[in-house]
Amino acid sequence: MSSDPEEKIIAGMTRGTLQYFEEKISSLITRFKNKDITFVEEIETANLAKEQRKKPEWELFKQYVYDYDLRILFQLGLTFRSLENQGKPIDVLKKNVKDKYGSTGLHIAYFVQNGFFQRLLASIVERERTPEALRKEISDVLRNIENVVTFITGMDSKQELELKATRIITKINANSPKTYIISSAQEKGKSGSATKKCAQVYKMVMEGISGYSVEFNKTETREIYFLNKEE
Amino acid sequence: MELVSIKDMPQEFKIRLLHELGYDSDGTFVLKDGQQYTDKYTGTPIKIDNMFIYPGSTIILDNNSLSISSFLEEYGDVL
Repeated sequence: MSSDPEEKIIAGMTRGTLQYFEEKISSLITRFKNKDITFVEEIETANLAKEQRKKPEWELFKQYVYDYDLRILFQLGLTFRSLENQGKPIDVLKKNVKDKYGSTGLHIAYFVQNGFFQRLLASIVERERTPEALRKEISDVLRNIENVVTFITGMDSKQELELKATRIITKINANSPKTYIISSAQEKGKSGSATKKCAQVYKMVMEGISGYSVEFNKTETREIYFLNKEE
Repeated sequence: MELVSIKDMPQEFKIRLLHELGYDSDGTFVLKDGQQYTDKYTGTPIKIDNMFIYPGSTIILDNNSLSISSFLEEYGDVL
């Protein structure tokens, strides 16, 4: 044992600190066992997930879609949007979504991130007569997202635009979807270019199909064409 | 339910917590019966420095948005 008074003080403080942490740890573990607390590395991640479930869009969506995976993808689409608005990176989350749900799942999340759900709902509410038909139509659109949505970017070349238009025409003529969405992709600082190209594709598509009417939506950053099958 | 961050807690605390719950760690990953324990929603091994631990029947997840949203969808708004 040390006879140095300073060492004795330090040893006493260390024992005191250890005892403090020991008591704190025991207290936390007791509270955990009593189901009072949840341990998380980052509280922010849990709060972000909780916030999405309080949003009006979620409240609306959950009335119409009961599919477990679609509901998760919807919440993750809202999470994408929140992170993007906060200027936070979303690449890791995108990878997680793609790893679990593939490209289709990622596109469903993008669909929600871009605010298409409310617009889709507004578009189909006008023609579907029953809640059951509405539910079916929403689920069908999301499950067949690859066949009913095309994004046009400012980077698309003339050749790519023609190819996209041809593909959209082929999909519409082959599947006769009730709704097809052509949207300019949101690109900060480049939205003008994408919206012009989106308009070009829309015109090319309308020349190649029949029996569809258009509903046009424009926001600050994008243009969206809802092609609705006429009854 | 209060959320308590373990971000700044010493690793010894996290390991002790895992022992209390019947789990273990190799210093990097959470172990169960000597094997790396995986997140039930992403299938990825859970690291000791990124855990989400819910009480009751004890659910340990990787602390990422996909897993926590999946957890809330499965168990309801329990947090």
